[in-house]
Amino acid sequence: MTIQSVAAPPYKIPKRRGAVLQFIVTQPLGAAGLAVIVAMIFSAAFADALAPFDPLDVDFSAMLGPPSWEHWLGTDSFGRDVLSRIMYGARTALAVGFLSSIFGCTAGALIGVVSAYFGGKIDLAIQGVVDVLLSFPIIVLALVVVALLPKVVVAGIDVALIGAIAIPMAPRVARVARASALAIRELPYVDAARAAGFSHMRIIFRHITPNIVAPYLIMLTASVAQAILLEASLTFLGLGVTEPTPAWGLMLSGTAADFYREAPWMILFPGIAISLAVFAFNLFGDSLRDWLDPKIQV
Amino acid sequence: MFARPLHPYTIGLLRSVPRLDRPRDSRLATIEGLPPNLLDPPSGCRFAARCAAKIALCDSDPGLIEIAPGQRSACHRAAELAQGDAARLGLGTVPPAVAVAAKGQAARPLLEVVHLKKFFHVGRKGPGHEALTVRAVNDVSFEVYPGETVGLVGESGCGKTTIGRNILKLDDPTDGEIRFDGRDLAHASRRQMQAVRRRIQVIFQDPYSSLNPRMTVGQIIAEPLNVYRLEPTRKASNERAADLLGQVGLYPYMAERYPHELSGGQRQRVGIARALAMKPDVIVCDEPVSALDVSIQGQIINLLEDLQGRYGLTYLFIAHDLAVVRHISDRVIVMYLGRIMEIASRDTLYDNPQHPYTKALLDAAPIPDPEVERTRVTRVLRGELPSPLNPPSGCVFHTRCPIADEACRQVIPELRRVGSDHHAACIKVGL
Repeated sequence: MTIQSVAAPPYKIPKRRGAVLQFIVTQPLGAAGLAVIVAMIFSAAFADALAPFDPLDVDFSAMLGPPSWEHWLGTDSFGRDVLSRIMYGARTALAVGFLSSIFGCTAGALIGVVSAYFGGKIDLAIQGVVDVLLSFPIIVLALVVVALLPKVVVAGIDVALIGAIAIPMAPRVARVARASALAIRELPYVDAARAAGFSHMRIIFRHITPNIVAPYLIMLTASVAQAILLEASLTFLGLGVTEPTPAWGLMLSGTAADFYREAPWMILFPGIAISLAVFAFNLFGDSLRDWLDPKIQV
Repeated sequence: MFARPLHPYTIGLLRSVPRLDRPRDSRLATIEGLPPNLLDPPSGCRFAARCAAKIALCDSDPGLIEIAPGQRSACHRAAELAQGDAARLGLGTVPPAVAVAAKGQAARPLLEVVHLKKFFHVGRKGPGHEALTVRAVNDVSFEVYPGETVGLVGESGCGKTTIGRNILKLDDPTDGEIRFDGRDLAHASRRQMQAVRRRIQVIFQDPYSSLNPRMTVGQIIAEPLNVYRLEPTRKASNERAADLLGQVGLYPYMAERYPHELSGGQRQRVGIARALAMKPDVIVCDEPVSALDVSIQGQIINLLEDLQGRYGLTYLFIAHDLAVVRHISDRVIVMYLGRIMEIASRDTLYDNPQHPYTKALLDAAPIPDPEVERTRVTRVLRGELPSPLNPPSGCVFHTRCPIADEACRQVIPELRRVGSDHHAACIKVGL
């Protein structure tokens, strides 16, 4: 080609290196959150090897035992080891938290993008439904969903519980996703795709959705915290995870309330676990937002 | 600086700008090549790799030397430049043009815009709120013939971009027709449009937001090829994408790059390659060089002209820079507040403008030469551009027109023939 000589030396642009290290240095609080999350995931994944006792092992000789060398965080009214139950409970919390967040956020993001892309009456209708859903308190909406959905247990986790947490989440995510997608819809590369006559599906999935990945990830992280809290709340109310599956919300409910004077460790440590998990995910989510895109406000 | 530039780079920059005060060259002079990589700056004179007057001494770094009082230049040959003319040193040479197919005006227009109107409704509806209408494009008609370049000029907000968007059907016209190859697009369904989409393509102004940041250059160019099965296999479309990159003056290995790894001019070339991939008949160029450095502007304009010659493309070239439009266009349309003021062939319009608005625009354009600029009488337009929400009655230009009178306030002037291939919308002209 002789039209224009473009004499650029074929140099390699250096890749952004050490993203994790950079995150730790610039976002120490977020890194602390990340450390807690990693520890949680680790103890949940290897609970079988790490937990000192079987969480279901009833030992009437050690009922309501205070923290000791044998039972670090004490035992409950059935003599079950609290530490082991918290470690196994992390499994439930993380599984429910991640699954429901992924479903809720993905559904919400798609609804938001579709709403923004088509605009007009479709946008108006979707936003109407979203507004109605947003007007309910999360816990009320979750209770309604639990009541309506049939109870189907897959691998120890109730599908209705996942739905109950995901569905109130979706409209909140849809709001943010719509705002992001509205801005992207106006960009010339979307116009170029329209001028090329590409299908709506292609424009939505190839040109708009990949460009809202940053806000999506941020919302996903924040949603996990919400989901863990909501799961604990629903379980506490007796509508979530049921005995004997170890779950943090469950450890606070039932007979635990009767013994809080004699054995405060029964509710103290699961309570700390919930707070710490929620706090860690929130810290991480906030830092991720600052790090990925300081302009986005969730 | 402008009268006697003493550095080859300065000379190159000044020559890259198309000039209104000089006859139109067939090609724009350009500074060849790309700015060097700042991560690995060249040793010696930084401009040497792109300099036509390079000598052996240029491998050592020239300091800023005072050549004349108050004028310093970082060039080993600045003293020579100060004495002789730059041309002797081989500066400011015009790259040879690729053979351009003779442009003959075909009998039938390829694109016809007939009484096009595009109104935007703004403000809230309902009682107590006045429905406001922006008359972005108000009764505009023109034709574009195959193989020609029609320039569309006017100030910001005059509706030129809106016309482009309507032709591309990115917006639906309020009223009027857009006929492409005899078919009306204004009222075409999505399915009917699909057949035409490929034949009308677009190049945007902003090279930064016109490419999807999540796709590689190769994916961007190959996407239409894959969607429309223009090539039998993925491999074939990747090869064609690489070929297209070569045609727009980029290297095939750049297909692996993401847009943020390219410079503005390179991205604009990618945008051109994407448009070319569909083998279009018409390309709507929406201010394709306005966002670029002057040296890159010249390269892109030359590229557009070469591609037109090679593929017989038809351009609707939207711009606000009169000199650029003059350089590239065969015919020029001057717009003001959603209406056409004047249409003429390029030379007629620039040599013999009829409409007072066109005259004012040509007068207002600065010329980068202090001597010419000093002797030139500039007439600056009075007042601000009126709001398109509430355009003036009669002739929309009467509020700023130096020759307007009472009649101009009342009569909306029709576009009238004022010469061969020359129309103006002014009641004062050609009576």
